[in-house]
Amino acid sequence: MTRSAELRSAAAGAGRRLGELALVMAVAVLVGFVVTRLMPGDAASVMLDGQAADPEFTQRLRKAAGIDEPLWRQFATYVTGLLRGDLGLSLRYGGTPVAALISEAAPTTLLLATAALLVATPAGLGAGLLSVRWRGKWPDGVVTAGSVVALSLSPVVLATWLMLAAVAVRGGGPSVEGVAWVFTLAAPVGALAIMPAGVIARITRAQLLEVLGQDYVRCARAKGLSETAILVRHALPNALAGVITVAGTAAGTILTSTAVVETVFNLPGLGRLAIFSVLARDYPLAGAVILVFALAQVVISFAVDLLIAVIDPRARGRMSGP
Amino acid sequence: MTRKGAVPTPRMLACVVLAALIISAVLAGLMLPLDPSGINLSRAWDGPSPAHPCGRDGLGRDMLARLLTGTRVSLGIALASLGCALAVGVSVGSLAGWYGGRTDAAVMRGVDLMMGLRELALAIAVAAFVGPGTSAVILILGLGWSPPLIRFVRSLVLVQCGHAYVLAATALGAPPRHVLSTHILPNIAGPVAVRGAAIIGPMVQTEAALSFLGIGVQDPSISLGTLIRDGLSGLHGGPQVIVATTAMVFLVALTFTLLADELRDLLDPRCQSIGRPDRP
Repeated sequence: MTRSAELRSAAAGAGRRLGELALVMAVAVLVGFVVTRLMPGDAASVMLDGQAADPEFTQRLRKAAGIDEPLWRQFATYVTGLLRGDLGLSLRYGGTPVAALISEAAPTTLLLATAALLVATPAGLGAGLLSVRWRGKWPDGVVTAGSVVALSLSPVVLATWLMLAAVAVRGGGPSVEGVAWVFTLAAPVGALAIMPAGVIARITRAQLLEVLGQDYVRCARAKGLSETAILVRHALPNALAGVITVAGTAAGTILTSTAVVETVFNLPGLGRLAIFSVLARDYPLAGAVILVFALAQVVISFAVDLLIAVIDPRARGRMSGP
Repeated sequence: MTRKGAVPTPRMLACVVLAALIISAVLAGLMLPLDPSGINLSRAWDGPSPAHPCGRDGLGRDMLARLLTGTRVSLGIALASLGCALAVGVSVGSLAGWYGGRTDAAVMRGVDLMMGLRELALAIAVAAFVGPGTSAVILILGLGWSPPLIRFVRSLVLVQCGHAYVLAATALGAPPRHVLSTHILPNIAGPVAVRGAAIIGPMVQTEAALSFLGIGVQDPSISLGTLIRDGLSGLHGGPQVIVATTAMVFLVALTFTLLADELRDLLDPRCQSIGRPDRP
C-alpha cells in the first residue's frame, strides 16, 4: 500500500470510529434528557419540596424550568442548552447551575484519576516485564501472587483500610487543617491504582508470554540477543496493543471508583456528586453527570484507538476496538 | 503455568481451603442460632468475646451473624446478576454468531453502544430509573456485564462454526436450534464457565461499592456493602465491624479469582493466563 493510500484508509477508519462514538454520545444525551424528566411530580414540586405554594408561583417555577412546553420542544431546548454549556439548574443546591457544580468538582476527580492511571500503568507494565524476564523464578512468583491479591483489593476495601491506617497513625480522624499530603493525595490515589495495576500486570505477562512463543522471537534469540533486549525491543511492542486496551478499560474503572474513594476520604469530586445526585433525586444533576461520564468513556476509548494506531501499523485503517 | 499431573498446585490448595471457608460461613449463617438483627443496646460496641467472636455493632447486634448474613446476600446478588448476564450473553451472543450477517451487525452495534455507556454512567442512569435498591444492583451488574459476554460468546461460536462437525450436523439436516444447543454450546461451555467464574469476584466487589454508596441494598436488609457503610459511620465505636466486613469482601474476591484461574487451567489449557475480563 502506498503512503497516501495508507493515510486515507487510516483517516477513513478514524472517521468511522468517530461516527460510532458520536452515536454513543447521542444515546447518552437521550438518556440524560429522559433522566432529567424522571422526577416524580415535576421540577416545581421537587423544588417546593412539599411546601404549600400558591398556584401562580408554582406556574412561574414550571415556566422557569421550561416544563410547561411540549416534549419535543423541551428536548430541543435541552440539546441547544447543552451546546451552549447550559446543563440546567440543580434542584438541591438552591438553583445553582449544574455546569458550575460540575466544573467545580471535575478538577479533583481528574487529578485523582490521572494520577492513579499514571501510577497503575507503569507499575503494572513494569511488574509484568519483571515477571516475564525472570519467569519461573521468584520475581515471577511474587508478581503473579501479588497481582491476584491486587485484584482482590477493590477500592472500597483498600480505601477503608488506608483510612483506618490513617486514623491509627494520627489517633483520630484526619483533620481538615494540616492534613499531610499522604492522606489527601497518596492514599486515595493508592486505593484507586492498586487493582488496575494488578489487572495490567496480568495482561502484560499474558501478552508477553504469547508473543515470546512466536518464530521471530526465536530468530532474535538465535542471533544472540540478550533476553532483556528481546523482551524490550522485540516482544514488548507487539504486546503493547493489548496492554493499552486493558489500560483504557482500567481508566474507566478508575473513574467509576472515584465515587467510592471520594466518599471514604471526603473529597469534593465528581464521583461523590454523581452519587449525591441519585440519592437526593437531583435529576438535572444526575442527567448531567451521566453525560460527563459517558463523554469521559468516549474520550478514553478514542484515545486508546489512537494510541494503538500510532504503535501498531496493522491497526491503522481498521480502527475499531471496544 | 504448567500442570504437573495430579500434584495439586499451591493455588489449588489455597482455593479449596478458601472455598470451604466461604461455604461453611454461608451454611453456618443459616444453621447457627445467630440473630443478625437482635438489638442489645447495653452491649453496644462490645469487642470480640467467645460468644460473639466478631464483637457487636452500635446497636449491640452480633457482628458474626450480620457478617454471615451480609455475605450470603452479597453472594446471592452476584449469582443472580451473573445468571442474568449469562442468559443474555449466551443467547444473544450465540444467535449473533450463528446467524451472522445483518443480525450480527445489528447486535454488535448495540453492544458497542452499551459498552460506551457503562460504569458509573450506567449505574447512575439505572439508579435514577428504578431507584436505589437490590433490584437496581442486579440490573446494573447484569446490564453492565452482558455486552462483554455477548461479544465473548459470539467470538466462541464463530470459531466453532468453522469446524467440520458443525458443517456435518447441518448437512445431516439438523435444525439450527439443535446444532446450537447440542453441538456448539457444550463445546463453548468451558470457556464461558471460566469467564463466568472470573466475573463473580468483581460483581461482589461492585455490589459492596454500590451498597456502600447507598444506591444498592437498603436498610434493614444487610449486605457486605451496607455493613461497610455502617462500620465507617460508626468508626468511633471501634474498628471491629469495618475490619471484619472488608476482610470478608477481600477474601471472597480472592477466592473467586483463584477459583477462576484454577478453572481456566483445568478447562481451557490452551489459553495461558488471561487478564481479568473487562469490567462493566
